[in-house]
Amino acid sequence: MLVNLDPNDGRPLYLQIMDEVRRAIVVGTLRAEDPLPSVRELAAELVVNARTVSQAYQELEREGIVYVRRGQGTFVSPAVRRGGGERRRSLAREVAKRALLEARRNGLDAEELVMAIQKLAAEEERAEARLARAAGKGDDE
Amino acid sequence: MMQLILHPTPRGRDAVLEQVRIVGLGLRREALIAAVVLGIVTLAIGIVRGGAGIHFDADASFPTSVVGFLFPFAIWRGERRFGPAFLWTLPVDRRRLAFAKVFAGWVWLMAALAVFVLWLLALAHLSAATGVRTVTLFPFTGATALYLLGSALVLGLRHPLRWLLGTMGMFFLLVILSDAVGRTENGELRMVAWSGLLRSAVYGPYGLDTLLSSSGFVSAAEHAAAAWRALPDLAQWATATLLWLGAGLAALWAAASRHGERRRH
Amino acid sequence: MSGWPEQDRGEAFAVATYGLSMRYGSETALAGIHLRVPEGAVYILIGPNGAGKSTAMKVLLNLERPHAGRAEVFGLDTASRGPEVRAQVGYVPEQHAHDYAWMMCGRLIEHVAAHYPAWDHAYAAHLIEVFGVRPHRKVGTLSKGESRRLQFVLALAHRPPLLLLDEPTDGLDPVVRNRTLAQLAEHLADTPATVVIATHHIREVESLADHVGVLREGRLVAQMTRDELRRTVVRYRVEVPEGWQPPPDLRIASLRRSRAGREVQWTLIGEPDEVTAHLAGAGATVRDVTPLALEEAALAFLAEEVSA
Repeated sequence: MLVNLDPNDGRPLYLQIMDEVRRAIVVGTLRAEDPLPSVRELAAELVVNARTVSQAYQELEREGIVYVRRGQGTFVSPAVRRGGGERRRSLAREVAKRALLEARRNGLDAEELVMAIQKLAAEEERAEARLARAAGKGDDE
Repeated sequence: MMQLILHPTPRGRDAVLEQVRIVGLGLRREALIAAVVLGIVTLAIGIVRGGAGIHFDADASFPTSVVGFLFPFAIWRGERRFGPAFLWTLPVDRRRLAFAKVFAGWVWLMAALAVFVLWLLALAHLSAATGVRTVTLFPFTGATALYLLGSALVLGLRHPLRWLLGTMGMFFLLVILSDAVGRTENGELRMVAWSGLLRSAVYGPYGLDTLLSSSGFVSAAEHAAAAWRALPDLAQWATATLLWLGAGLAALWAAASRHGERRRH
Repeated sequence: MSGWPEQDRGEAFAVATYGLSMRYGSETALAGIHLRVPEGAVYILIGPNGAGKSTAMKVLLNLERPHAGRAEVFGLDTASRGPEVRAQVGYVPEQHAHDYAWMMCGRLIEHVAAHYPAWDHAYAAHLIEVFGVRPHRKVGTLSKGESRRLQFVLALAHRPPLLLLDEPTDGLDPVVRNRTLAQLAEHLADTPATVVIATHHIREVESLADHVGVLREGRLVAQMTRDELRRTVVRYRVEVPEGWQPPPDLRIASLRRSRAGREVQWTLIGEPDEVTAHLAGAGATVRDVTPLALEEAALAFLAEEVSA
């Protein structure tokens, strides 16, 4: 699992770590019963206070996403196999929250952001379709 | 929550022993130079005189005292003493640490002098009884007193070398001037004699002269037994020695207090 | 904002200063600061060069005597119990040069070890390896970065309850810097300690911090937890009527403002609810409230408009 923290993100670091774990689970790089890096390892890797990592892990434990095996460390809870849809929604919500924050930092409001996202997504879709067509033609020749 | 257990400070003995170790380590270069010089002198005597009997009056007091005085400069070389110096960040009472270092230096000074005296004795012994007339056996007290004064100088002054050179410059100026004026009938520099304080410090009954010139036993090789050299007065010498040691310690205390934990502005 | 009153005993502080003042000649280095570093905190002391950060650390080690006020480390008075205080501290000084230039690094480490009964020799060996200190190098030949790494070994190996790090990343190249900070984070995970980091390179150490103090011209203009800083120093985008004048009492907290037509953007200090209500009362509409990165928030206290 790779955890990235953004110093410009105004949110507390433990929330950022929690999000990264959630993301890894949704993306599939972390699966049920996988071990999480130890507090010490992650603290050293991210150069954060070990207490920050502990706090993130405790919150995740409280949410039932991870559990602690005494003396062995923290593991992804088997329960994450279920409720994937809900987790995706909650992840989307966090991503949206970040985007909204960033938008506001730039003086944009939510409506402008949503419109821009929709427009961008449509453009990318068209571009991909164009690429696919071009590739198709290439194959024909 | 963290369990707070305060760390202990080192035992005084450990701090002193460590100072003895690193001061010794720091003086390796000087020791090497001294060994080479002694070796050359030994060889020179051996070659020049061919072992045919050496005639020298080995009054070791003066050179050893100079060494004692300059020793602190070697010990504190490269060590910041003022400001947030490394030494003062150690968890030892600062005045005690200063004393520990001075003590460590003294230990090595005494060791060096002991080697020197043994060398003199060996030389006297080897060059047959006829040659050597007198060998001062105990240059230790005079060197100790001057070592303490030198240490006080180094420890108490930001620029001891400047002070030393300045003072020496003044002194030589004085000597040149007084030579122009002439000497008193008993050979003392008149200028020095005029200045009452300096006079008693150098030529007085308890002066530097007494401390250095008559500091101890003499082995008169013509005679079988060790004898006192023409001591003006043993009591006088002892008093002078005590006075100078006391002055050295007092100066050292004052100098070390500049670095004390509770120093004032 | 200049500190907390005297009677806040009870909570355990690793470092507490009471009206600490220090002058160098006519220069004021510290002007009555009340530092409070809770046990176990990673406290970053922010301020431009010459703001008094290093001086404060030296007073804590009793390397400098304050002109007024006093300081305590774990409840020990720094002026009267200097040796005991220093036994609790791992200190990385601002300057890189070492005394004992003639000594080998390994011997210097041994020398320092002799003064700390709590010295962990196995850990020291580990640190020497991790920090890439070569024991047979002469201390005098070390580069700035090597010297800094040696200082880290010396500061960490006795696992002190308090670390005082004065510009710890100074002189380290980016790769070594990251490795050093990672090692520090690992150390803190293994060995609970209180850390005070004085720096003007906030970005490099901010991820470790949970407490922040801001020194400006010898005054402690802010001291709070990271969460409090994040909550109370935020950017407001406000819509205002033509010719609107901000309420006078807002100016004290007002930090940055960029006028673009009828919109004002401010970084304001204060509880967001209160500030928002206050602005609304004055006829302005708060469009949104944005939290700031730690550096931005801390630097807000160094902006010119803040009155200390």
